[in-house]
Amino acid sequence: MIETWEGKTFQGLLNDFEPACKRLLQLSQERGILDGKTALTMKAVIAIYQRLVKNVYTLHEDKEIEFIKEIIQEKSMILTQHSITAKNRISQNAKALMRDGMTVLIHGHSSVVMHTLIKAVQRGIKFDVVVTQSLNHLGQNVKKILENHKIPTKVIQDSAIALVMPKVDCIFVGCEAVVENGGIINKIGTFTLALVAQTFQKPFYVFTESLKFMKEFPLKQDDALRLASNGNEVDIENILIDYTPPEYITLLFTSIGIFTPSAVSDELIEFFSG
Amino acid sequence: MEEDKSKQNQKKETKPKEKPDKDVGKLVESGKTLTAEEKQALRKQKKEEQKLAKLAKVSQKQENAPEEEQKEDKKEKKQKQQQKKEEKKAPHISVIDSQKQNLTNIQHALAAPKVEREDIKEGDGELQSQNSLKTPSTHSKRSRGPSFYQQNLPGSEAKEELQKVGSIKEIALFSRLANFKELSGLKEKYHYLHPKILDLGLRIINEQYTSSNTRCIAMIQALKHFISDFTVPENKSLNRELEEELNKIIQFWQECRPFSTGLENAMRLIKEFVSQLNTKLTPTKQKSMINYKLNYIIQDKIIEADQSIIKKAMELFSDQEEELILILGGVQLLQMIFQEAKENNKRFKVVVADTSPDFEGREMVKRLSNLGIKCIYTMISGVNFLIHKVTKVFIGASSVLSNGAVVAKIGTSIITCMAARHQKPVVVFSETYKFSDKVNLDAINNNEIGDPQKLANNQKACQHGQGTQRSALGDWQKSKSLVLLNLKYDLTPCQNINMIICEFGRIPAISVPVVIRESQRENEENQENILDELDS
Amino acid sequence: MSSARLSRVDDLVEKIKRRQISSSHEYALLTSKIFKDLIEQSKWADARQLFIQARKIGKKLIVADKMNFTIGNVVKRVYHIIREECKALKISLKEQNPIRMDSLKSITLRGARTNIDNMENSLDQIVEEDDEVEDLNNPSPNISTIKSNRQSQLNLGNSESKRGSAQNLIQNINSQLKNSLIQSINLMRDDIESVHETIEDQAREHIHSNDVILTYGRSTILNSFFKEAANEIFFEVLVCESAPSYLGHQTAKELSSYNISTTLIPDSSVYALMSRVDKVIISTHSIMANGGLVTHSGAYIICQAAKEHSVPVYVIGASYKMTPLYPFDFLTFNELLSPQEIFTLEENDVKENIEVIVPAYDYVPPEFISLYITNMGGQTPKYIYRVFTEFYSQDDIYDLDDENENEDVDQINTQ
Repeated sequence: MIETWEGKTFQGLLNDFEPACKRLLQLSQERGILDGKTALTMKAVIAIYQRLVKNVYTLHEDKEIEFIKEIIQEKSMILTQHSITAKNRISQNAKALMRDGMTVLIHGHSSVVMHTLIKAVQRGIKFDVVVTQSLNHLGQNVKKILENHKIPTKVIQDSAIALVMPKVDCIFVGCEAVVENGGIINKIGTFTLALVAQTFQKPFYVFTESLKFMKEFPLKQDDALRLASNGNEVDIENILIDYTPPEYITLLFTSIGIFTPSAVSDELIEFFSG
Repeated sequence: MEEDKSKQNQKKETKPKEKPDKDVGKLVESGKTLTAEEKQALRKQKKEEQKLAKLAKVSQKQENAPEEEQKEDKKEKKQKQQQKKEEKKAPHISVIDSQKQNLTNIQHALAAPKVEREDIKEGDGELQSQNSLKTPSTHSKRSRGPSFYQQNLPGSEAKEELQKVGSIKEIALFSRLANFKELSGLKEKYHYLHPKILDLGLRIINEQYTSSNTRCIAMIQALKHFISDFTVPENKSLNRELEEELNKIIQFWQECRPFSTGLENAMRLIKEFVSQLNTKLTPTKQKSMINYKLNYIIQDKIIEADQSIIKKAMELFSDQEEELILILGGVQLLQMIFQEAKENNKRFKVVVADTSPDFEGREMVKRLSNLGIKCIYTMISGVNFLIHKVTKVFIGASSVLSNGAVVAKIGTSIITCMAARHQKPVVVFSETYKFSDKVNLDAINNNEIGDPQKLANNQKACQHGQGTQRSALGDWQKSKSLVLLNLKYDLTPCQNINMIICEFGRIPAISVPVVIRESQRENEENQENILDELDS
Repeated sequence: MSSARLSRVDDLVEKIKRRQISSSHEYALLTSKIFKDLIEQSKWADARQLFIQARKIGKKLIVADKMNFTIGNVVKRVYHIIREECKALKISLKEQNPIRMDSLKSITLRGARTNIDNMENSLDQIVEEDDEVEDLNNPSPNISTIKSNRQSQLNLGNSESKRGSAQNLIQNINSQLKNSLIQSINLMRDDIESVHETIEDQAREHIHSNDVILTYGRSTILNSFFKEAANEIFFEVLVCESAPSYLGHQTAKELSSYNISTTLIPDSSVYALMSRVDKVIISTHSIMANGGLVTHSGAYIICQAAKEHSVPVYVIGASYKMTPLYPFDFLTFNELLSPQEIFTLEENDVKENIEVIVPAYDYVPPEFISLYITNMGGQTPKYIYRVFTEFYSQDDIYDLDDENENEDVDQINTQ
């Protein structure tokens, strides 16, 4: 999904920058709500992109606009390339992680996580998966996809997480955005999962492309919710996401390497302040 | 001046508790030494005391006769020397059980020469200067003896066991070889005891009984022999005579090795019974009643309790999945449980974690595998490798305390801690006679210290040591700063324990006082019943 | 590569395989010496050749013993040094004058690495770096053509006249590179050599008067750490025996010979005595990239007991012990030793039912550790990854065994 948006973005740039961004955001929000996700990811990507453009501009201020455009195009292509290959890199990172006989618990429908699991089974590792049901039969969909690739999968109710936790070896989740302190914002239920994992001392792994790093610092759940809904108040009945603080996360597997949550925050601070 | 010194002496004698001393005290199972050397030392001690008393008198006279200053000087010196010796003895006299005062005094007299330097503590500049400390640093430097807990425990009696860590080295002198000599000395002292009793004492010292159940049964058997041979003159009552004799026997056995809670409880029951015997009955009748009671204790408290526990334990083995059960070392009750489980065709494997220096787990593994049970053997440091796959942890207890804490073999606490952190259930198996009214929060009050030489005898360590030395530790006894510590028991706090299984049933760790109350009531009832039965 | 050097490398490989050397320090020194010789004495036309040679040696050394991380660490540090120097030189050259692409090629490490190299080291690189990004990685065809077109346009005018001096220029650049490499490697060697002193200097900071300190295992750095502190203050040490190797016995003997009050205890007493311990100070086999430890068996129970009693755990780690690898659990980096270490069977015993497990290493998660005492000062486990970024490149963080695996850039339809 990201890739297609990438394409649109850097084409749109060639015309007029600012309005393009806003339009993009609107589009993404609508699209996002349809898909059950939020616009957070787009926000993150857009922020990164804005920085890129700014940098190029400051570096080559004196040159012609055509030149600048070309450079921006190049960069965008690198970025796109990067995001296309991101998944491969992430699953490469996670190679040492998967072992025969493991049971993995996953939450939400993250394409990165699925990719990693499928790559692992292609490499011949035998493991099975437990997936949470979540909203709208998401769990069933995931189960279908995984079983197509011959990974035995079971679907459980979200409330059965604590029951199942002792039998699980580790937890994989994707995320919508990674925030400045190393925490993540992801589908509702992630935080609960992280809490239970900590009680049972199970490792909690997050898989994400590096483009989802965001320059935001939520102090509590409400902040994160407000981020996702553009400052509007959200009723408890309609929440789609939650925020997981970095203490509950063991490691993040990103396209630029494996990070501990504190390392991620370092990266982010460097990136956004530089 | 000399008066002051004598006063100082007295002061020092009165504040011995504050001094971390090398009191061997109740620690060591081998702590009774009545060798010839020690008798000499005792005599020396008496002589020195007499000398001091004389000096005190002399000093008083000299106060009034200032012309004899030269003599004063000499006597000052003498006194200083004797002060030193007094100092050494003074702290020793401190924290001693009334029972063992003589013995321990002698021990310390023997130990004194070695402990010389270490005894001189700060606070007495005179004496310090006489013993040059190792480096002339002006920092708050203590004498170099291993003083471990001394800074933490001024004046606390209960923690004396480990206060005397520094003197454990001295215990090496009283190692197993010396025990035999000691036993002869003990024999001299206790010669009047029944041979069976002495025999048992010897076996206890030789650590023939690792399980307190077997120790208890053996003791009761010995008592039966004793009682059957026991005669009492016509005019004296059996009750009182027997009580006295029992006290002596118990004292002897405690010297061989301190009692665990179960033994204490059993002995208490016996003494109570004896004291409540109907004096109007004939001695033969009384003896038979006591015999009956002794049998009853073994039967009810140990054998049948064990059977009941084993039955209840069967419910813990699940039918659906294969259990992987973690245990520490070798516990007789657990072996019986596994045997029963195997006969009932339960599917399980056992992980035996072992500790140095006793390595009781090795025997356990061999026995279990001979029964056809699959075992995994590892050292205690390898348990974290396996803990994820473990389903349950089984613990055998030495005693269960009123606050739900469990005293068991050393190493239990770290295993249960790991199990609790990984959410693995911990089950303790204990007969009710091991339940105690005491409360304890850490493993350092009330512990037993084993033979430190065992640590040094470790074969593997010797292999790794430098080629020329037979043991890596070599002559550790001579080293002033090295001490070996071989604790026997440790304490598992109640929050790490999920369930305790006793013959009354399954209880959570916090309900121990209830069980104690119930079992006491039952004991009393049973006692009455027995007495009634036998009377009729 | 010269045969003398080859034989030296093989010697070292032998020693590694037979585990003849017990001290990590020695390993570090030996490895760094080999690379120093390589750079100083071997002949290389451009940086890429040098890098390939270095990589050959490095791979040999690392593969000799998977668990000997020290060697791998030094090797990866050398790679990082080479990369960094090339980059730095390039930047400085570009700043000086506009230079031809050809000459820059000599210090370009293109093609010398794996597909993993496609990863940008940080978002910064994607966004900010200009030519560097492209040079150091395999760019997609579009971009390179654009780039080379542009540059060829720029340089067209100058090309012919400068061809003659190109050779000289390249040699000049190479020698510059060589000098800076030698400097860096010497810095690294000094760093490794002075590890003991720098860590000992910190002894007084962390050990206080009348402390009761728990430790285990045997380490020369740890012994000198305690010795240094013992010169000034009085403290006591409890040494765990550390089954199955029982190296704790030696430590106890050595410490008592420095007149430190030492008590030797079996591993099982750890929990019982922990309430009287002020701090735990241990050395380690290696420090991992997530701030955890992979160290000799016995550390986990000590750290677990310390956590229960809220006793701080200090770990002494030299810089060559910092390993840029991620352990995920106790099995990722481990080996099992022979059962003979702890158990012997007699003839009559039933062998089929007994399994003996003797793990050599423990994995201690970063949550158990309070502070790392390194030769760069004290570091918290959460922040220690910073040191890793100074010493190692992202590209080296994975096992070199994976080098030749090719991953297709395929898309799996997960929608």
